[in-house]
Amino acid sequence: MGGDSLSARAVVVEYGSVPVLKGVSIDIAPGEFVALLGSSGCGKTTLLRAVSGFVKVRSGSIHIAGRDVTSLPPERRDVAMVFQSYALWPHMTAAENLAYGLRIRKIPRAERDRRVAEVLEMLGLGGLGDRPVTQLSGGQRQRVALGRALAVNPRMLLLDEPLSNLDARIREVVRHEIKALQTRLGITAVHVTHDREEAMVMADRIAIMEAGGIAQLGTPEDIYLRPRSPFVADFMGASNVVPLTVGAAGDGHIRVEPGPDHDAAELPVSAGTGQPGVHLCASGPGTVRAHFRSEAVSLVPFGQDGPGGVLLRGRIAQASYPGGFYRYAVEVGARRFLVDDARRLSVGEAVGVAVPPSALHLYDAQPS
Amino acid sequence: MSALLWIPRGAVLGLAAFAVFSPLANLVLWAVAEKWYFPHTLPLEYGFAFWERVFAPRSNAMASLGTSVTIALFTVLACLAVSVPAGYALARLRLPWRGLILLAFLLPQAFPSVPVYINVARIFYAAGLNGTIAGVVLVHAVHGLVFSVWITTAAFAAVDRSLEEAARNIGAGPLRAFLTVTLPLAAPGVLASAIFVFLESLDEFTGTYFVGVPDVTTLPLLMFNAAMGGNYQIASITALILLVPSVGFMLVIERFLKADVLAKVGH
Repeated sequence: MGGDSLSARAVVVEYGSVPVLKGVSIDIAPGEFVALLGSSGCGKTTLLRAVSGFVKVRSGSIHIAGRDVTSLPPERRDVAMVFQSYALWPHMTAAENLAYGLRIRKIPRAERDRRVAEVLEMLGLGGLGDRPVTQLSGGQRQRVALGRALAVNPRMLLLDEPLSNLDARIREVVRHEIKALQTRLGITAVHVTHDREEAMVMADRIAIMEAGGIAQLGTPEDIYLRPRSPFVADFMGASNVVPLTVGAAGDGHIRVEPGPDHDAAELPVSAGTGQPGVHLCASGPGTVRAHFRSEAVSLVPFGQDGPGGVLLRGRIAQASYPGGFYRYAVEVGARRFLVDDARRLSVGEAVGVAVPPSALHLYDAQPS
Repeated sequence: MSALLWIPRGAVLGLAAFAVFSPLANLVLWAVAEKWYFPHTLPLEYGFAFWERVFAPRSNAMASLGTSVTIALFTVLACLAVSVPAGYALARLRLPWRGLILLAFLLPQAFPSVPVYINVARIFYAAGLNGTIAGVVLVHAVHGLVFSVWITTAAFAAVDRSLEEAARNIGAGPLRAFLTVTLPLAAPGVLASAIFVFLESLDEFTGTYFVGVPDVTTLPLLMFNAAMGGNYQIASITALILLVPSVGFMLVIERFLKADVLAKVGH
């Protein structure tokens, strides 16, 4: 089997005069699983629909397996899509839904029946072939939808939030099933989702989409540890922001100038993914925007030294117990951060927020 | 006090029942009356002699029933030929003036029918369509297109677009996707609209009168002539015959027209 490559070049899509995709380019290798991740309205579904041929591309080009499909109708693109609503045909049984694509390809009846039975078996739907799809559960429908796409032995699978209508518990299982199936069959897959964890778990590479463009494309690890812009950092959970003034210190270090809520510090700069140190994206010395994750920092009693890095002085403004640890809203100057800690502290207590170097992502301060 | 409420309730229900059923009862009485004249309240003699005359193989009634059904079937075909493509287009494509187009099909209903049909008759006369089945079918079709286009549009709009896209995605061309997915799913609504058109055509009088007379005699025209000639028995029996398909089909339509289709009518 195996998969096809996909290459989009400067794809522009407009609805009326509203630009939805503003020149998106992406290259996907055969057999690769790429997730398009973003919040609603970022253009991720539109990009998928442009690839499948359901929206007109204003300019740019789309190639599948080296073939220019930009102006081909959907039925001639040879991509199999799984719809968010499943889009199963209610006037057919599960088996008829699966057989539809084979019938169009004029596969002889015996071969068709064999293939349908095989797909039903592969997806754990044995014995449900004769059921009308309206009598299947949500999880079963989802499998039939996936089966309908897989029945025609596609070389490229397009998944449009296929898991968003499932229970959280089933979703976890199906995630791994789809990923395992895709790896085994070697199909190229493009998966649209707004669920960060889903993208992280399933994809080989993730494209974070923002306002009709790709903000960052990389491995899950890369995007998590080295978000290229404040938007990506924010989207990937590093949503606590503090302004810092930094200067060069030489030899792979930067110097954080003292501020009203913190002392001076000298921090190592990370050399690449997985290397310890500050993730430095700011272009030069001066005021920068520092992003960090709540779960990467810790609280230290007031006046004590932290484990290294930047120590922000603040006081606890709010406390809650989500289970297993305490979650505190810590007030530092005029800002509030959420910090998780195992110790029980009371509201109003002065604390230090210790941000280790590896938790810091520094970006140029934007005029805001 | 409340125990006596049944009196006004009973009176209102009784009046309503009288308003609905007394003309029908009168119709049934006339249909089985052999002899009935003033000042007698009820027929003097009952019998089925007139039924034999109506149902005689060579009778005018049977011939006009045949004409009526023929015209109704052709009207249905003519309407579907327009409303299936038009309904699909109105439901799916982003047409400019969509609302106006839908409204245009209502126009024939908006004007007083007699002057419209007189003018239609004049034009048809010039075109040689007066007194022909084709002419009557055309008149009925204009009338039926309202139901047909509006209901068919709603039926197609109720079919989820992604169902069609799924068919296209898996390799079906536009026509194949339409025939195997969209049309079967819209079929109940399309069938309901066809039944409406059939019934409308079967009952239509004014247009047939101006365009069809004297060469085309449908059942309503026969009934009119019989009633005008004082032959209430024949008129009543034809009226009862016309009632059968109406009631029967209405029961069928009620099953076919689902809430999701009705919700889309006129949208």
